[in-house]
Amino acid sequence: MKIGYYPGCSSEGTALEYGQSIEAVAEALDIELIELEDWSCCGASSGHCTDETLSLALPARNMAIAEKMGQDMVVSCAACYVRFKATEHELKQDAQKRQEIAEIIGMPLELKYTTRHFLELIYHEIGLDKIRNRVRKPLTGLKAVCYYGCYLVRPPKVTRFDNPENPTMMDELMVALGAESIDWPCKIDCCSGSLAFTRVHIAKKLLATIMQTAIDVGANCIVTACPLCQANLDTRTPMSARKALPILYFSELLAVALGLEGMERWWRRHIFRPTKLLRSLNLIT
Amino acid sequence: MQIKSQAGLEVIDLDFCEQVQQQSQSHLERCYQCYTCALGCPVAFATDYTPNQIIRMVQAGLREKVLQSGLIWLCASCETCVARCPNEVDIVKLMDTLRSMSLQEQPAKRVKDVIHMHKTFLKNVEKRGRIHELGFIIGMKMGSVETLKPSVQLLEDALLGYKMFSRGKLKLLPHRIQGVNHIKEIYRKVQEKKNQYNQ
Repeated sequence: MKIGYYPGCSSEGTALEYGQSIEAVAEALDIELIELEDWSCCGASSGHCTDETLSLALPARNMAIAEKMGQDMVVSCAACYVRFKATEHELKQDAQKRQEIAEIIGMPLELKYTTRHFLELIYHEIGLDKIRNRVRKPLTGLKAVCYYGCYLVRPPKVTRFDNPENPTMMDELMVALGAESIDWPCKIDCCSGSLAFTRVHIAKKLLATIMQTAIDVGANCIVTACPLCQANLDTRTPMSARKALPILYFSELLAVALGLEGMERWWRRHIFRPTKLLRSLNLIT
Repeated sequence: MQIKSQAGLEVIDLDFCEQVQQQSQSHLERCYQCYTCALGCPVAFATDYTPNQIIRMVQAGLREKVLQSGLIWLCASCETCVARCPNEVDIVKLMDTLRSMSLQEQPAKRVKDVIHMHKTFLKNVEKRGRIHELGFIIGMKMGSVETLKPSVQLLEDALLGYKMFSRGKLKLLPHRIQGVNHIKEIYRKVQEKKNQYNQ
């Protein structure tokens, strides 16, 4: 299948391993990702926190580019995902606003296409049966807790992603890959988002609860689908081995299970390296 | 129109609630103080007010108290309150509106650094079209004197910065998109529209 691809700003920087693993998995699953030409930042939290019009215009520019390409677009960052979905939702309901935004970006905007998260693509378009058949290295011994965070499942009317209080798509994917997916109460808890930059004490408290709960339920790793959740958990939780778990992107684990190559460059980018765990389970050499 | 409360303790703005309702379209009038939002709010433990209290204060016309509150800027926009509110009050939309209003008037001094962070982010995007993370972090730290005072946190951040840099997580050089003038034009038009609205 072909689909427009919006990499998102962090996939070029702090979440490079996420971007690379998404692209590697897409290639292995015959998903042709067509990168949006000259894409720009979605505005993230700072857009909507300060200026409503800007928060609609920035995503709209990219949506107009995808429209020109005649494609839906797929994203990997959950924050980018919710900004695109929220813009789509708002402008579909308010024709006047849509006209205003189209004028501001100077591009036609008919909202004929939509935005998907890569996890949705795997679950709905590829399907877990196909994934199961493609597994070369079952993730046996991996005890994952799936951490969805805020923006895949909320606001529920906007993303319509999964059950907003107890999503299971990522859990089902992990099981299809041969891992154990442990149920836990912090699936959709907030990682503190950008407060990790300005109110570290709030961030640490929220992240410590998430990390400790994961340890308490017997997990040996946390699986995420958002670059900021991953970065916050990886950088703002205590470093000692007893108090920390590796935080892996679902696409990295998908790549391991599919038996792909060239993954070493991803592991060494994590602050808390997952290599010890993955080697101990014979999942990597 | 402003009046003083009976005991003279509060200044009440009789137009505030309607103004907020109009701008936010959040249906805040439906709130019946069930506290579900407060119970799910991840930052409530660290702020001055809970979301339902802000709603009540908006309804009561306490403009200055609301726009000078800490919660409106420490709200993480996690949307937990929105997902759980039995009356479908769009609390995050409300917070966005209150944030925007507080920028026009006067936000609390203690959240100056949060506002600075957002402004730095958007300036960074305006200049390049995409976020240059290293530039953003530096801009954020440089703009706030408090963050540069010697402290355990500063040391911790410096160590973290080094770790991230040595693992190749922070791209040194920024990337500028080709359509950067298009982005600047979008910012200009948005500002123009805001100026029109405020006249």
